[in-house]
Amino acid sequence: MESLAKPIKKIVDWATSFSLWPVHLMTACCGCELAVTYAPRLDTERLGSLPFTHARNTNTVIIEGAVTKKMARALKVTYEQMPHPKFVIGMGACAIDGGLFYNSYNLVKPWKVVPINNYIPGCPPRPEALTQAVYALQKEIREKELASYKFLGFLSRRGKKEKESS
Amino acid sequence: MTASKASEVLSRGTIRGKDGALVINTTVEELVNVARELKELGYTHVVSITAIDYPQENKIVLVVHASLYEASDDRPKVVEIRTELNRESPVAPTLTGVWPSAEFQEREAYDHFGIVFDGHPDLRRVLLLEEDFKGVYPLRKDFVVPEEGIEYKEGWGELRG
Amino acid sequence: MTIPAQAITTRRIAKDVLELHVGPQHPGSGHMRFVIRLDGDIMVEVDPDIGFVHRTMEKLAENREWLKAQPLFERMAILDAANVTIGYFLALEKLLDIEPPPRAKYIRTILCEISRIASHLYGFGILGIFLGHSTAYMWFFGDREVFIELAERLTGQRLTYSFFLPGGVRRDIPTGFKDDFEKAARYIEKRLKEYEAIFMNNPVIRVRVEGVGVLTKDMAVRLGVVGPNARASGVKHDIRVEEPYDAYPELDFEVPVYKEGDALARFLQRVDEIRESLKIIRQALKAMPNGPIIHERYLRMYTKVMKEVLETQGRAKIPAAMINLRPPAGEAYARAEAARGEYFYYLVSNGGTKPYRARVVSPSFRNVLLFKYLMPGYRLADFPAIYGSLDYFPPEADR
Repeated sequence: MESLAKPIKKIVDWATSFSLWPVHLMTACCGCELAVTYAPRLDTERLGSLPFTHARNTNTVIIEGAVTKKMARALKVTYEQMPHPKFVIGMGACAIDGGLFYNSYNLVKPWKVVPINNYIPGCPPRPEALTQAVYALQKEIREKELASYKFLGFLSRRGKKEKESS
Repeated sequence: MTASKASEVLSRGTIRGKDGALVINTTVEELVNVARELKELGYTHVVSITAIDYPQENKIVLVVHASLYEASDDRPKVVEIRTELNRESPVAPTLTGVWPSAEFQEREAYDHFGIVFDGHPDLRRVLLLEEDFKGVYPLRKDFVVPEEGIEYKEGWGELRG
Repeated sequence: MTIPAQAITTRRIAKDVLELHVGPQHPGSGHMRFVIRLDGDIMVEVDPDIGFVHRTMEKLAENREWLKAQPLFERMAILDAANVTIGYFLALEKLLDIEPPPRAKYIRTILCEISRIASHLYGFGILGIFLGHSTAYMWFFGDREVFIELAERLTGQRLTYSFFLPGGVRRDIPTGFKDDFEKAARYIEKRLKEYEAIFMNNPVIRVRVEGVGVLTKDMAVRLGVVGPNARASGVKHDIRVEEPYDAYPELDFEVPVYKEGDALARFLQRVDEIRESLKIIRQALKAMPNGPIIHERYLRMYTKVMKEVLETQGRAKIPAAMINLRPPAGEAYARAEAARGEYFYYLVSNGGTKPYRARVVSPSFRNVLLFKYLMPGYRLADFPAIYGSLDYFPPEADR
């Protein structure tokens, strides 16, 4: 059983990395560059990533831009509705540390609301930078096995039960 | 007809030299009457309702801009009505009876400065959340926003948060 | 799956009325929430709940120098950045009592019109995706890249130009710009003809937008509606004609006005505006006067190195007096016409380096009323068609 673990995990990671579907949640002005990234000039759909409408069928959130206090509640609710394994990309200077509006009284730092995998600097970042971030996230999923960590527990429990019974 | 109407408009206030707006200074009690007269003269909608806070002189000045569409003569395009309100509890009559386009602008003035408009159909905060900002009106001058200085501060260069 | 308790509330409402929240996460793009009360399928009441993108720009502008407000206000409508900030500089120039030289005025007009075309193409893409026509979204966004590339050749930036200075512009027109523009104009005119067959005369799209969301002229005047929404209802209101600024008094163009006031009229009116913008840019490039690109008062403060950069590279550097700008005490207002309507700026100065009060009213904030007064009576399926045709942009409404 153990010998099947590694190839199954590799297939799961490879499949997840080529189907990172971001949810339609536009937080602020970098949403314009997100719309351009999925447009014909820099078609990111060829990397397998399709912006989808419902939170329950997607596995990525791309936080673009400034997150205000009202939007932070919506972001948390959307993030909780997504099934595991899920990933978050923080796009723009406002997602890193507030950006241009660093001392505003209505802004929330996004890393206090949801855990973030990748950050992209820029204001707004060029669409090529967003494509590079998606590509880097794909490589990270495949190398660090971010999507298949659950399979390890399942297979090793099966293996232990067989050893105890025999 | 148009010439006399244009001069009637001009007699209400003074023209400001820099931008050509007609400035009318009035009191809180006369505000709705002035608005009604301007509407008769053809100014059909409100462009902006806002306020300026002068804490040293202990007053809040309510500034209303009104304008018109498709003017036939060369009367001033924008009219500015200024009123002084008490800073402790600013109260003003609503203009939604005269100009329906004032609805969201007055909600924003309440949101930012705390000015209560008597008779507004639906006065609640429009941009900020009530539970986060209860009783706090951010655009007043005593609400201070922290600013980074250019001198070196203790702990600069370390990871924050 | 734990959802925090204070994020969801329930309350009892009337019988036979269904309350639907079209929330910040919805199929489509737009960071706002509408609370729609439905009776069956017909919308009875619509309550816009805005403020999800309120980044407090008016308060932040009071703490920063006059020139630093340009990147701040640009992010209101980032895809139309030239038209959004030109109003601020018109008001600032009225406070300072200066006027830019003629060549700078023409360059400003060219950039404003390129920005307007790019913004209209974005609006069409959003309308397409709201109606479910994702081919329209792809094609319009692909064509928009042509104009973004053109703006990049002029200013060096894709979206946030930060191109204006009080009294001029920052760069001169590069060589070869005229040929680039001619190529772009011919391309987009050919494509607009193709779109008429695919998008506008498409029977499915026509049925969804014709006769939907009718805004009468009387209601438009009463509610103070601006921009293409008003011009499609018969109100001839365009700041470029009423209070002309920059090079508009010397150029010859028309303002298209439609009478029907439905979603189809709003769409067709924007297509005509794109054609007029191309005409304006062509005339401006032909009649471009020679001269400096920045006002005399600041040109006198230039050092030798700065003058050399201006002559050889065409870049205007910022002198120290402009960074510590101190306009005389007073107030001034200015209006400018952006792609979505008129911007209103009102600046109050008390003689210091920072504004005492900077007030900005965007067209989307003035058009929010339309959701409350125009929607009731239509079916829920018409909601995306009306929303997409109004070209409402939430970061602009919330500032």
